[in-house]
Amino acid sequence: MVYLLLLLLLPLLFSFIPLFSGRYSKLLSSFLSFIVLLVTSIFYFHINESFKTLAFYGVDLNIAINYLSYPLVLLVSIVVFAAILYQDPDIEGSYFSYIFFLEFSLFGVFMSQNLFLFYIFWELVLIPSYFMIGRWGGPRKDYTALKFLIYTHVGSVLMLVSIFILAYNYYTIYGNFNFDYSSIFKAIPSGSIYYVVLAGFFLAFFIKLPTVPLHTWAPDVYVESPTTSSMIFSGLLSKMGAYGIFAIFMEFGDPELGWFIVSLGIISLIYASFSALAQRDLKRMVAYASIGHMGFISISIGVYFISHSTLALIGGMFMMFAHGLIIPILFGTVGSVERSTGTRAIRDLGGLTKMMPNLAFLMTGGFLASLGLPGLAGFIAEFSVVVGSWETITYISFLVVFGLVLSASYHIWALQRTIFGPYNNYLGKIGDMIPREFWPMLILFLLVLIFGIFPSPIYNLFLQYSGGVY
Amino acid sequence: MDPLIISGILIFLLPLIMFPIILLLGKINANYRKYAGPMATSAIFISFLLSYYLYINGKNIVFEGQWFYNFTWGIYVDPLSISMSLMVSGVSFLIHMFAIGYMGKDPNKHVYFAETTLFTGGMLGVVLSSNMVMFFLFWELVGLCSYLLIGFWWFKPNAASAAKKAFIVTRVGDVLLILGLAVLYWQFIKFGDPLSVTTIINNAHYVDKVQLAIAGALILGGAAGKSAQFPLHVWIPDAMEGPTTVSALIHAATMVTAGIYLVARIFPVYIFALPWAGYLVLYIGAFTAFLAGTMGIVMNDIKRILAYSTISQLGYMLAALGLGIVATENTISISIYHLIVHAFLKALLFLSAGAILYSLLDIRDIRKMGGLWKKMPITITAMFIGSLTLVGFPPTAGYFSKDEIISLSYFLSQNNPGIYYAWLLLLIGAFLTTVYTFRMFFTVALGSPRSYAAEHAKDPPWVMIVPLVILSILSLIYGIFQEDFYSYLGEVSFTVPIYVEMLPFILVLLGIYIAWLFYGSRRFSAESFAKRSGILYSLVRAKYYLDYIYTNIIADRVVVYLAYAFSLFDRYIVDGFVNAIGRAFNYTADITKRLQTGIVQNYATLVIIGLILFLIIGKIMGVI
Repeated sequence: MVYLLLLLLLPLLFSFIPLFSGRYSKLLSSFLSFIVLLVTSIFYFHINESFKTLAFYGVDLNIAINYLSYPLVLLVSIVVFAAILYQDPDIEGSYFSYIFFLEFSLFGVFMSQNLFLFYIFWELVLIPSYFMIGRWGGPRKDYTALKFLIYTHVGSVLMLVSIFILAYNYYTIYGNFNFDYSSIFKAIPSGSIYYVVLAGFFLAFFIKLPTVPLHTWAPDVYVESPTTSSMIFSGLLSKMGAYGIFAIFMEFGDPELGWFIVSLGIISLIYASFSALAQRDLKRMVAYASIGHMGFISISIGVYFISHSTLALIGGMFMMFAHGLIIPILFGTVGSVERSTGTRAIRDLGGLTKMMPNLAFLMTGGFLASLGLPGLAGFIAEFSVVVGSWETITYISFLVVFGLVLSASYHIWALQRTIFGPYNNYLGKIGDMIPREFWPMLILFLLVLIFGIFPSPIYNLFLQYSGGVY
Repeated sequence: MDPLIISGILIFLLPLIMFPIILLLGKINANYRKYAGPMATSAIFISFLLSYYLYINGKNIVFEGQWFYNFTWGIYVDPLSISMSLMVSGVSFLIHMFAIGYMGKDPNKHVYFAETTLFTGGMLGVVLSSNMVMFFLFWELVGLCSYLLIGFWWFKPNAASAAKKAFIVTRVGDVLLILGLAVLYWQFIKFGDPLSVTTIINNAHYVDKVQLAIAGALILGGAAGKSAQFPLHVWIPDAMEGPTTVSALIHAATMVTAGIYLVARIFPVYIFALPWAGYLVLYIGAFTAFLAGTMGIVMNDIKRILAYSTISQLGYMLAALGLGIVATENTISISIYHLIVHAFLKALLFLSAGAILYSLLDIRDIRKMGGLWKKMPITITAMFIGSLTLVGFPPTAGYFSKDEIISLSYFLSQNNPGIYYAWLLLLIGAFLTTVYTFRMFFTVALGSPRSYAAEHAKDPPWVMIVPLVILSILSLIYGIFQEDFYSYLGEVSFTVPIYVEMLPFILVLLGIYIAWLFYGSRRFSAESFAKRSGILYSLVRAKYYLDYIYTNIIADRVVVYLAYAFSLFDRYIVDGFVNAIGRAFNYTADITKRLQTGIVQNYATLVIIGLILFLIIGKIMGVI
C-alpha cells in the first residue's frame, strides 16, 4: 500500500517547513506533528500493510507496519507531538526540522523490512541527534555529542559487519543477495562466525538500549540535552535498541545466551537503581531510572530465549511502549522545575507543592508510573515480566523485585525531598508549570493512565506478533 | 446486565469516579470546596446502600470479563466480600461524616475528600475483585492513597518522611505478593484463567503442596506489609502524621484490613499447602499480637498507642486464620467478625482521639491531657466504650470477638500441641491490651488537666458527635449478632472448659486494676517502675531496635553507601574506561600527527625508509 510510503515520507517533508516559517515555526510544527499523529492513528486499522518496490541487487525499499512496529510508530508520533508542544517557542526553526528528520528516521527504523534499509535509517538517526545535542545542549554539549556519536556508531558499524556476513552467507547458499527479514535470517551461519554475527547485533542493540555496562553515553546525553531532546532521546532512541532486540535479535535465540541476557538485565536494573539513588541532580536521577527500566527488556527477551514464555516477552514489548510514554513525563516535569527554580539539585529543592501544585500532581503521577504503580502503564509491563519469568528463573526473581523496591525507594525519596517537605524559601516566589509545559505532560499522563487500565488495544498487538497464544 | 452485577461494580466505581469530580470542582472554584465533604460522604453512603442491596438479594455473584492476556477483571461477591464491603462502606461513611467537621477549616479539603473517596473506593475494589491482578491494582491504589493522605500535610517534614516510610515498607510486602501471584499463576495456568479467585478457590487441592506453601508464604509477606504484621509493622506508628480521620480510615475501614482479607480470600491455598505455611500465619499473627502489646504500654502519643493496638489486634485476626489453617477448620468467620468489631471500636477510638486533638489544638502527648472526662463528657464516654470493647469487657462486642479467638486457640491446641504457644501469646496479649488501653484512658480522662489546652477543652460540634454515638452503640451491641454472623459466613462451634473461657476476663480485670494503680489512683509511680526495669524498658522503648535497624542501618548505611559506591564505580571505572579509550585515540593521534611535519625532505626520508622496510620484509617472506 503506497500510503505507507507517504506515512514514512510525511515527517521528511515536514522537516523542511519549520526552516522557512520564522517565528511561527513552533506553532506550525505543533500542527504538523499533530497531523503525523492523526495519520499514524488511522493506521491502527491498517496494521499488517506492506509496501515493496525499487529492487536493485536484492536491496528493496521494503517497508511494512506489523504488530510490533505499529505501537512504536504510534509512540514516536505521540512523543514527538508532546515534545514539540513542550518546546519553548523562542527556539530557532531548524531545531524543529531536526526533530521531524529524527521522526522520519525513526519511522524508517521501525518500518523497514530489510536489514540494509534498517541500517541506513539506524545511522540516519545519529545525524539529527548529534546536532540536537551539539547545538542546543548544556555546558558539556561538545563532549556529549561526540561521545554519543562515537559510542553508538561503534555498535552500528559492528552491526554492519554482521549484516554483510549474513548477506554473504545467504549469497553462498542461495546464489543471490536478499536483505529481507523474511529471508536473510535463514542464512545465520554456524560455528565461530555465528558468534561474530551475534556480537555485532548484540553490541548495536544493547548499546542503544542501553544496558549496563554499555550505558554511559545515556546519562550524559539525557542530562546535557534540552528538555525536549531529553524527552525524545530517552523515550525513543532507547526503543530503537529494544525494537532491534525484539524484531531482529530474537532470530538468534539460544538458551545459554538467554541466561547471559537475563543476568545483564538484572544487573542493569539493580546497578542503575543504586546509581540513581546516589544522584544529586534530579535529571541525572531520571536518566538512571530510564536505564534501569530497560533492564526489564533484557530480562524479558532473555527469559524468552530460555523458556519461550510469551507472557514475559509481551511484558518486555509493552515495556517499550509504556516506558516511552512515562519517561518523557519525568524529563518534562524536571525541565519545568529547572525553568522555574533555576536548579536541578535535589538538595536545593523542597516543598515545591506550595508554589507549583500542577507540577506536583504531574511529577507525582510520572514518578509513580515510573516505579510501576498498578493502574498506570508501567505496571502492566513489569507485572508481566516478573510473573512471566518466575517459572524460568524462580528464586532469581527475588533480585528483580529487589530492584523494584530500590526503584520505589529512589523515586519516593526524590519526591519527598523535592516537592514535599517544607518549602525552601531561598527559591523565592516562583511560578507553576506554564500551559505549554502542562498540557503535553497531562496528555502523556492520561495516556499512561488509560493504557494502564485498558492495556488491551496495544497489548493485543504484541500478543498477535508473538503468536497470539497464551 | 444483571442489576446485581451492575450494583456490585458501582460499589467501588462510584467513589473512584468521585475522585476527579471533587478534585476538579475544588480546583475550578474555591467556593465549591465546601461541597467536597458532603459529596464524598454521600457517594460512600450510596456504596453502602448498594452493598446492603447485594446483601439482601444475592449470596454468590461472579462476573468476569476479559482484561488483558489471560487475566480477567470482574466482581466476586460472596458472604465474605459482602460483609467486608458493608463494613468498609459503613465505617468509612461515618468517618467521612466526622471529617466534614474535623477537616472543615482546612483550605485544601477538596483534595482531602477526593483522596479519601479514592481510598475507600480502592478498598471496596480490593474486597470485590474477582481476579488477583485486579485485586493487586486496587491493593496498590489503597497503598498510594495512604501515601498521599499520610503526607496530606506535606509541608511537615515528619509527614513527608512518614509517607515515604509507609510506601517503601508496604512496597517490600507488595513485591513479595507479586512473586506469590507469580507462583500461583504458573500452578493454576492449567485450569485456565489462572489468577481468578474462582479458579484458585476451586482448584487449590489439585496443586502441588510445596508450591502452595511457597506462594502462601510470599503472599503472607504482602499481607504483613499491608496489615502491619511483624516484621513489616514499622510504618504504621509513623503514619500518625496525617490527619486523625485518615488514621481512622487506615486503621478501621481501609488499608490494614486488606491483608487479613487477602489471606481469608485465598484461604484454600493455605489449607492445601504444607503445614508450615499455616504455622507461619499463626505465629506471625500471635507473635505480633504480643509484641505490639508490649510496645503500646510505653508510648505517650495517643495516636501511637492506638496504632500499636491496631497492630496487636490485626495479629489476633491473622492468628485466627492461622488457627483454622493449622487445624483445617473454617475460621474465617471468627477472624472477620473480630475484624468488623475492631473496625467499629477502632474508628470510635480514633474519632474520639480526633475530637480530643480537635479541641486540644493537636497536642498528642497523653501526659499533657488529663481530666478530660469533665471537660468533654460525650467524647470521653465514647472513648470509654471504645476502650472497654477493645479489651473485651463483657458484654461489649469485643468480648464476643476477641475472647472467642483465645478460647478457640485453646480448644484447637488439644489436638494440635503446636498451637499451645500461640494460645499463651494471645492470652498475654489480651492482658497487655488491657494495660495499655486503660493506661491511656486513665491518663487522658482522670486526674486534673496538665496543660492550658486541656483546661479549655470542650465537646466538638454535632457532625462529629453523631458518628461517635453510632459507633459507640455498634460497639456495645454488636455482640448479639455474633451467631447470625457466624451462620452467614460459615458455622464454627466448639466448647472449652469454663475456667479457660473466664481466663481472658480475669486477665482483663487484673489489667484494669494494675492500670488503675499506676495511672488512675497513682499509688505507684510508673516512672520509677520503668527505671527499675532497666534494660527491658529501654528495649521496648526503642521499639526493639527494629526501626533503628531498618532506618539507620539498612537504609542510611547499607543502601546509601552502596548507592554511592555504585555511583562512583559508574563514574570513574565504567565511564572512566570509556573516556580512557577516547583519550588513547587522542594520544595516538598526538604522536602520529608529529610525523606530518609539512617538510618535503622528511616525507622523502620516510618514503625511502618505508620502501627499504617493504623490500626487506618481502625478501624475508620470500615474495620477491
